[in-house]
Amino acid sequence: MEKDNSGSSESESQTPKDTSPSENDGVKPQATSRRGPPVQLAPEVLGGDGEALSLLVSESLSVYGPIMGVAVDQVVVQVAVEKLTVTALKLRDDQRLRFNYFRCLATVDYHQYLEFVYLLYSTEYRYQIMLKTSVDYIEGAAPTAIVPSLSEIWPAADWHERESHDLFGVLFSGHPNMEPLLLYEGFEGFPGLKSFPFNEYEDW
Amino acid sequence: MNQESSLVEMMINMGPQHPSTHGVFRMVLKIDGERIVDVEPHIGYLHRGSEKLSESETYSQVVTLFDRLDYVSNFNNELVFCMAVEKLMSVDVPERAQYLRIILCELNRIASHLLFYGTYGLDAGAITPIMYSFRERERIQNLFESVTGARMMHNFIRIGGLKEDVPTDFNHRVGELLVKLSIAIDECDTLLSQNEIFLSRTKGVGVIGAEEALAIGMTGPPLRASGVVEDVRATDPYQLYDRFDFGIPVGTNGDAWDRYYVPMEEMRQAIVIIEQALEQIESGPVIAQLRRIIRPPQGAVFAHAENPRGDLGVYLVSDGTNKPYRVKVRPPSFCNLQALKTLLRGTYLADAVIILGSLDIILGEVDR
Repeated sequence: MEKDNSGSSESESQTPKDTSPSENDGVKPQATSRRGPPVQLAPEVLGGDGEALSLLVSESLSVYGPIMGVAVDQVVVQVAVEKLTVTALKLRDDQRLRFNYFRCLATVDYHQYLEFVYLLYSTEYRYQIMLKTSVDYIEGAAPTAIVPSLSEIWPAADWHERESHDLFGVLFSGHPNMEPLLLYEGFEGFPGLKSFPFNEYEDW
Repeated sequence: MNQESSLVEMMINMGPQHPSTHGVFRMVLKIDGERIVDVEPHIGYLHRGSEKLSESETYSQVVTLFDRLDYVSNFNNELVFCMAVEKLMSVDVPERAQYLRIILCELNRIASHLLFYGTYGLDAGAITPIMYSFRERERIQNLFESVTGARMMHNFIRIGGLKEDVPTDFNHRVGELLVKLSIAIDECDTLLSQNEIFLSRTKGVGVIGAEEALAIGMTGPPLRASGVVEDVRATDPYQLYDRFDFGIPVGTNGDAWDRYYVPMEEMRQAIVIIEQALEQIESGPVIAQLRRIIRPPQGAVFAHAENPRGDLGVYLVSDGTNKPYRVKVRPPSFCNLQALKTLLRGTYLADAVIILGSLDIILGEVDR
């Protein structure tokens, strides 16, 4: 949408903001590309070891229908949330993979769905992997999503799931102790969500 | 009087304000006489919402938030975030910048371990070691002040390199400092490590095996004290750590004394690394040429480094704008603190402080 700042604005017919079809109706102008360079995607530098691991994992988990991906230099496995527990068990118990170390659980809010990223590590083979799963959620629902808990498979997942429950409102079914961890008692709302009024929040 | 004695369990609160909880941390202990039956840790008193805040700040501003996560090892935290953004943007950081980053991070590791040594001695009842170790910390912080302008919260490691070059007498000053630090570390070692009372308070206390430590997610010196050789500098070298020849101290018993002595040896290895870095460093630029507004490509990245407390990881999601979409921090102290329940069950009440101190937690990064 070009802003014409020429002096003779009176002679031109200024069209008001109209919804009538115009010539470039199919192309919506993007706000981000108005001034800067177009948005690029992150580079994928997987390397030989990473590709071998990717093949190994996709072969090992082929029953559960994984979608393989790359996050700059790490292998990403995406599965449906129903297959999460069996996938996690397979990743931990398969003798060629042996992902015995649970690093982190990151919850990301993408407005229509929540994505859960489990970062796993194998101390035996020194493999690193990201296990992803996504759950649709409706704004304003509580709990926001229901995900099976992995705290029986990896006890280290305990507090990470509690934190995710606290900040995002996710219910992890099968978790032994789903109590608030970081926020004080009586806090209303889930501050991790994008819909939380972060800049308008006033408690005083 | 009853013929059968009934079990009376008492709940004792080690409240958020306590000199030995290493920050604002609350433990509710359920004790039976002198034995701890169960513990319920309560964290969140220092939760500042750093992860949510970083979604509304530009990338250069987020570096200052990372400074304040583990407020004792500032350079190491800044380094992890800058590494994540540099990985996403495929930035070639100049070699001189990487060497200087390593020197500053290892000096910060020594400073952080000196603080752990001093406060752990204080927890056990020894009030002399903290005076010695903090005197040495002053030397390191003086050097930091001459380089960055601040004793803590430096905001010096920037995306692409460093903020500016170090003063001209930096190599000479670091060389002199290392000599003094070597003597001081030996002095601190003789002060506390073989003290009879300290040994009886920490030997055999809070034992955790290698398998259990890995399952519960421990990291850093407490994990290495249980015998597991896991150090990010060796298993997944970042910056230029594959050019250095250094040892990784590992404990044998997994008790509190091992968790105390592994950082002691790590300080000596840090001096070895800095000496090698000083030999290999050459002159050159200290920052890569980047645009003023840092706008990484769209995508997700995971970067991690070996902090004095363990493996600090950052999962960064970028949507192509100048502000991050999601920054998730994986704090080592958070993961180590999960082991508290397993460690404290069945021990004496007096050992609670010793075991908590040996985990070397900093609440700033536990709560973020």
